[in-house]
Amino acid sequence: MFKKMQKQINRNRNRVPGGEVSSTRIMVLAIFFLVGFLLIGIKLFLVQVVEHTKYKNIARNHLEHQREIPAQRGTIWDRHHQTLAVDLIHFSLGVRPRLVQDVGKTARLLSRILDISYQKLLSRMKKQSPFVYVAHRLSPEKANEIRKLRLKGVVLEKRFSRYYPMKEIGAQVVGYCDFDNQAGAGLELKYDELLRGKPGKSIFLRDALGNQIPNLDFPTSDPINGMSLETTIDLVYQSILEEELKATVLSHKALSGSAVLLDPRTGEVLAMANYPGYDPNRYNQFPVDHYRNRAITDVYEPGSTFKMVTLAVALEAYALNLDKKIVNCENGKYRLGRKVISDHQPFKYLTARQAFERSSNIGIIKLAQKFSPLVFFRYARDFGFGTMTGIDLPAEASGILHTPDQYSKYSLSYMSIGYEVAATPLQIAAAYGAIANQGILMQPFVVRRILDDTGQPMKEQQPVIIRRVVKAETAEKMKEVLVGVVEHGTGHTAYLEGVKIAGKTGTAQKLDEATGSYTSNRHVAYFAGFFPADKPRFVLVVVVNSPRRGYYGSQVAAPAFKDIVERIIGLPGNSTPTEIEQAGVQWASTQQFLVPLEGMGIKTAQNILESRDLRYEIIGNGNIVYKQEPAAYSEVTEKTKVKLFTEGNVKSTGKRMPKLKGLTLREALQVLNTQDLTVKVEGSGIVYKQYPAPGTPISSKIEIKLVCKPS
Amino acid sequence: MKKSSVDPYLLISFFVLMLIGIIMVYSASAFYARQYWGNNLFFLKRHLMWLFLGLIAMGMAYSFPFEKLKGYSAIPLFLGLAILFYAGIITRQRWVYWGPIHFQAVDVAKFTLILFFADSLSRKEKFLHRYADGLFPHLFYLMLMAALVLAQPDFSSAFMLILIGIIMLYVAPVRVQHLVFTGLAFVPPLIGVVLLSPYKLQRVVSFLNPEKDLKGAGYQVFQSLVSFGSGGITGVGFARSTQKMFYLPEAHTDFIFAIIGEELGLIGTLFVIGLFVVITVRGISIALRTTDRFTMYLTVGITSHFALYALINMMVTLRLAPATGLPLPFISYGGTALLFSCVYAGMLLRFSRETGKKPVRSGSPATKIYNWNQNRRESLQRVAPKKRRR
Repeated sequence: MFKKMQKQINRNRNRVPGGEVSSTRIMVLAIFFLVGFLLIGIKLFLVQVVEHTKYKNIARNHLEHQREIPAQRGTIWDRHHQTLAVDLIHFSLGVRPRLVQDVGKTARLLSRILDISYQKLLSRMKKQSPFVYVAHRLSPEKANEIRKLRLKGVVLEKRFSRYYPMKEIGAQVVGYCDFDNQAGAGLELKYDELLRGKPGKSIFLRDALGNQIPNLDFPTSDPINGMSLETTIDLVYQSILEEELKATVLSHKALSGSAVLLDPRTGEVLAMANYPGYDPNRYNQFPVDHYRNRAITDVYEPGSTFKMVTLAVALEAYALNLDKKIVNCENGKYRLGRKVISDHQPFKYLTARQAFERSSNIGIIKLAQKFSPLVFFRYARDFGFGTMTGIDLPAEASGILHTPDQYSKYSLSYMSIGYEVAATPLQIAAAYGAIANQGILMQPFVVRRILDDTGQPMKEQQPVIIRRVVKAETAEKMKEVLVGVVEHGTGHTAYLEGVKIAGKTGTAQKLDEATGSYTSNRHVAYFAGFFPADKPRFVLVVVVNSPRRGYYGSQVAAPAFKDIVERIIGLPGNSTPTEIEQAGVQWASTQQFLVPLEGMGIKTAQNILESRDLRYEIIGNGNIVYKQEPAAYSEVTEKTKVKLFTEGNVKSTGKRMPKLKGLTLREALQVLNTQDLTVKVEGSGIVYKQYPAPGTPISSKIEIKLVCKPS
Repeated sequence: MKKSSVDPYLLISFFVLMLIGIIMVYSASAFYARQYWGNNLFFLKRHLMWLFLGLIAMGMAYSFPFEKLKGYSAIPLFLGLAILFYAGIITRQRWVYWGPIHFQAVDVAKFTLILFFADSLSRKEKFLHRYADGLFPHLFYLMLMAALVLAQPDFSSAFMLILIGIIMLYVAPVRVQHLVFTGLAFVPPLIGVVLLSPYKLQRVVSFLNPEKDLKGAGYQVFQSLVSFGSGGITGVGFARSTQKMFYLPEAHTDFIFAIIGEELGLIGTLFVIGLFVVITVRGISIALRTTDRFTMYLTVGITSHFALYALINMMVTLRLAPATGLPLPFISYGGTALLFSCVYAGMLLRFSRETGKKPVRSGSPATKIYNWNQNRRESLQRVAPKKRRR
């Protein structure tokens, strides 16, 4: 064969010059090309046959997409179905520039509906990217308008975002969701799993530009909307507590404050307030510190409020006769080891009842001295100290209650007056609730019903009895003592004509964490109690942390307690759930009805009305709504104009003349917070006359006169 | 020279390739056309328009007496250089727009170069073993042209131009060592060009490390492999490619072979390769058989054009070569490349007819193929008259 090729080449060479070279080289060239094609064939075989499955899967992965269909998060209501937290539906508007047919026309039409200029829209639509967002948070009405235009390349995406119409009210209880709709605190966090629901999924094929490929149906699963929570919170009570707490914290220049209002019969949390607060709608603008529900996360030494445990032990375990037992109060100074215990006022001999009413530390310690540590511990534990209440809120603290084996020689003495223990305001509220509830401790709870998205109740929370702590008779006796505290004891600043209040003040020196010793300039002012004492319906605890103007529980917390009680009791018909139920108003439909605004601060009421797009008129220039027209729970439409009648300026400063007789002048001035008051002083030493009389509302216009004489 | 019929295999290969081109351009471009032009048929219409022009040009080339150009090929060469100068130096873009007419300058220039080389080499064969007055003038024009193309800038077209030129010089009686040494002299500047333009370097890098760069320059070629691979043996079916839905860029132009691989599978790709093999083999056989040196050089140039473009395009789509934008002759969407492919096809068919009747002696493999064909044709002809007689 080679010979034959040679012959052919020779022939060619003879025929044309250079022909011999050409033929060989053309053959080389041909072989070169054919080898190239062969190589490609081999590679094709490898890619298309050997690696077929691998590449097929890659192609499928590129193509298949899963889209999440968001589920609507459940709503959180107060007990009358006033909305505390709700998912609003809104729409994001996007544009696929390449699919838009007439950019100018589309931009013009959209700019008419949106508040975006034509030029801005045009520049957005001329972008090179396959998808551009044009506007966010469009209302469903606007989205509908846009949808009706049937514009090509314009996409509307349904979104949800959390909205808290009541803003600060109840914020720490409700919690918040961050801007990615992830729960951050409070009920939102605790019930996140229920609230969240389950997003739906749809699988579809998509080209590389993100366009859905038509005519390819894939299975989809619908989203399951989240459950809704009906809480035990009463918005009116909640706002009252928050307003009064705020006023107290500000006027006493305190660091913070908490207030808890429970129904002692059920353990329902009617209100739980903390100051400083935050607006969950713009949570990021507040310090993280403000998100905290201090009423359950912060522990304080309860001070004198803890003396009721001592009282319970003495009455039940040691059969104390309150009026016969006399204790020597050592004239206000009593040595306990290296430390000296002192009373706020020197006493000599007091009956046990008096010792409680006057809150004599020395008297109580003496009563407690013969207690068995174990018995004392058991009662304290039974009242719920040292254990979590089990409330359905996150981050609850258990407080501190040492076991008897940890006690030092004087531990029992200190504990009997509320030191060496620590409790949350909620624990104290629950313990006082047990006294109010004939000795039975109830578990506090916030969510009373869980409803699915159609409004069908899924779970109903029944009141949970934790245990009987003391006998009913003991509870009755304790109640008497506590009523006495308010009527003629240290709690007199909480005294209110017409309402029988049982309660106890408390003032605890704060433990300085740096030195480990008690400070004399940092206090926690307490008032814990319940009312009406004959048939207790409310337990209320007010805690003010580190007040700098006055520090006694009786000076700081008790007046706030009284103001709250006054407003709650003063509510028209005292809108308890039973009465509303009798009125035939159903929970689910109350949203079309007017909110009860009576008793709320004017600003709170305004917020609520504005969030509901209701027009209103304020009559009078007071701070608190005392009457509303139309009445609460009457039907309202957008056209209704709500009239709010406000009180006179009586409560504007929230101050009334305290009882100053017997105090030194310095103490009296401290109590008065003289900054915006004009005080005229006659003489010096101890106050023995005061004008006006205790309990009179005071403001800057009234001249206060104190007559003193040397002690 | 006696007339005879054209090579039917060549003719059929060309037309089948054109047909595949029409179908695949439509299939590969429909989504793209609808997305960006709002019309599925946007590219198909234009492709058919180019093809229509191409067929006219093919007919003209088929009937044009190219031997008359002998000795005058410098005129078109300077015309080609002028156009390249205009595109490469003045406008610095690949396309030349003259009123309604627009074309790629390099396609025109390549045609004039092949013509000039064929004419000049066939007339100067006696001097080609010398460097200064034999090889050098040719190399000069080749490099000048390549430099102008590079200035557009169009690296891959310049590379192809040089390859075709070198092949034509190689089959001429030049000394191989002259070519090699000249080639070596060009290696350092070539590396310099690659290193200095980052995108070329990146393509080379992504070719060498394909897995590292799936999102960047390697993305296209990876998607191309995915297309081939998901096609398998039989393909996913005509028009059912999903890769063309913007996953594979340039699906209807430079990467159309990948869409063929996906829709028609290994069967389809091997069939297309087969057609190009037929064109190559038939072209080579014409070159071997012709006694006219001018025709021989033209045939080699044209055959190399088809074979090289097919080879490099396929190699790029299969990641056997760095990514460059070269069309697959007859199949890739339109443009002057298609027009000139048709012209070359017309020329090749003309030369196949001219050499068809030449007495052939047995010997080389090419002549064997030729003889086999000849025998078959004769046997067919023997059968046919009988039929007629009935």
